[in-house]
Amino acid sequence: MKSVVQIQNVSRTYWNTRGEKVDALSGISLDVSPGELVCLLGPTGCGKTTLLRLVAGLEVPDQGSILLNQEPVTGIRPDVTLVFQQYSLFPWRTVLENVAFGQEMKGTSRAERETSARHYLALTGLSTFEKAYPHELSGGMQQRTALARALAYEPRLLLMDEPFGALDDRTRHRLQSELLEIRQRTRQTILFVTHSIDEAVFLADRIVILRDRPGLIEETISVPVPRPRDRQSKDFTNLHLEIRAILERIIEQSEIKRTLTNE
Amino acid sequence: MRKVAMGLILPAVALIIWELSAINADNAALVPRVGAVIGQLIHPFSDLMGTGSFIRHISFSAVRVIVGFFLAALLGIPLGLWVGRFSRIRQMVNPFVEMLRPLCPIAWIPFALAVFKTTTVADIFGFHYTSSIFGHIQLGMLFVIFYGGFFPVFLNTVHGVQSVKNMHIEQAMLLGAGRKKLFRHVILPSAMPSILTGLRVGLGIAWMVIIAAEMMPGSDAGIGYLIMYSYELAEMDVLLASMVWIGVVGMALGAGLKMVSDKYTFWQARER
Repeated sequence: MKSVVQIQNVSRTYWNTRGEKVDALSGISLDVSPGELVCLLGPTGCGKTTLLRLVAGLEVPDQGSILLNQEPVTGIRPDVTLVFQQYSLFPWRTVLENVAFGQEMKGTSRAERETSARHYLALTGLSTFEKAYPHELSGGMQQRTALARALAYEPRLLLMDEPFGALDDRTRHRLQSELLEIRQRTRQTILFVTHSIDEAVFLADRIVILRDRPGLIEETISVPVPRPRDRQSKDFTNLHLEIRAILERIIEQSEIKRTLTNE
Repeated sequence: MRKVAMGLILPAVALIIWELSAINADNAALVPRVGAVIGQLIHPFSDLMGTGSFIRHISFSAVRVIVGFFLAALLGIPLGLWVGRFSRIRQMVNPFVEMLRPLCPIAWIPFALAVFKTTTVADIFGFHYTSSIFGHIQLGMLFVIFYGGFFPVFLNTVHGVQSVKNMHIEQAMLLGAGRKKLFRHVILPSAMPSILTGLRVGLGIAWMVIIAAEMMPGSDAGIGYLIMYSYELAEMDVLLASMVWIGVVGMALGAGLKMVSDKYTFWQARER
C-alpha cells in the first residue's frame, strides 16, 4: 500500500529569542501507511510539534520534502487537519456548529453538514451536548468536540498535537481508549505527538523517538503489545521501561552537550 | 426586589437634599422645588417658552447623534478591521491616531462652527422646504459627533482584530477556511465583543458631545440648546428637567446597545 505521508530528509532551522541557531529538525525521514497510528515521542524542544506543523503545511521545511498522497505539501491542504492541545474550539459557536465548521467551509449544505456533524458527535459520545457552548464543557468534553470536528472534516491524515496533554489522568485514559475505538471504526490515519511514554505505548502502532538539538530520529519501534492493551501487562511495562531508558539517555546526552557548549 | 430597593436609596437621599435646599433657598430662579421639575417632566409634549416641547428637542438631539454616530461607525468599523489586519498600515496610522485621540471633541466645536457655519444637511441636499428635521442637522454638529464617536469605535475594532487568537486562525485554515471565510467566520465574530464595546463607549461620548455642541451660538434646537435657553430666561425647572431627560435618553441608548451586544458576547464572559 502507498504511504499517506512520506517525509523525506526534512530539515528545519530557526533562530530563538537569544539569536541562537536551533536545528529543530535535521534530516528526518518517515513514512506513515494508511490506517496507521504513529506516535512522535521525545523530550520538550525536540521538534516534534515543528514536524507536525510542517506536515500540516503551516510551516515550510528548509530542506527535504513532504509528500501527502504522493503530492508535495506546499501549504495548508484540504485533506489534512490538526487537533491542538486545548482552547481551539470557537467559543461563539455551539458544539454542533463547531463540529460542522469544516464542512461549512467546504460549502456543504446545512442539512448535510449537520447530519454529518451529528454522526461524529454520536461517535465521540457528545450527542446530548450539541447545543452547548465550549465554555460550558469540561476540558475532556472540549477535546472530544475538537476530535469530532477534525473527524467531521474527513481528512486523509489526522494530526494530533498532545491533544490530551492538558487533561487529568482518568479523563486522558478514557479519551485514549475512545480514540482507539473510533480509529477501529473509521480506519483513520493518525500522526500523534506526545511526550508521554505511557500514551505512546498505549496508542501507537509505531513509536518514533526523536532527540533534540539537532532534532533527529533516535529510534523507531513497532509496538509489539497486543490490543486491547493492558497497562499492567508485562509486554506493556517492559516496553515502557525500555523507552524510558532511551529517553533518559537522550536527555543526559543533550545536557552534557549543553554544559560543554556553555563553557 | 431587594436589589431594586437598595438602588433607590441614594436617589431618594439626593431628592431629599435637593428639596431641602430648594425650600431653604426659596428662589425658583435658583433652585426649583422637586415638584416643579416633575411638573415639567410629566408634560413632555407641551411647548416650552415658544421653542417647542421636550420631545421635539430630544428628537433633534437624538437624530443628530444617530446620524453622526452612524457615520462614525460606518467608517470606524471597516477601517478598524482593515487596520487591525495589517501591521504595516497600523505602523502608518498609529502615530496620527494617537495624536488626535486625546484631543477632546468639544475642542473642535468652535472650529467646526467656523468651517461649516450653520449649514445643515437640508442645505446640502437642497430639500430645504420639504423637510423640517434635516434643516436642523447642522454639519458642524455632525462633525464633532463623528469625531467623538469615531475613535472609540475604530480603536476597539483594531484591538478586537488584533486579539483574535492565532490558534483560532490556524485551526480555521486547517479546517478549510480561505481568506474570505476566515474573515467572516473567525475574525469578525472573535472581534465582535470588542467592536460592540467600542460602539457603546462611542455612543456615550457622542451623546455628551452633542449637548455641548447645541449650547454653542447658531444652535436653534436640541436639548443642549434648551438648557442654555432656559438658563437665559431663568427657567430653572425646565433646565433641570432637561438634564433629567439627557440622563434618561443616555441610559436608554446605552441599555439598547447593551441588549444587542449581549447577544454577541455571551460566550466571552467565561473565556480565557
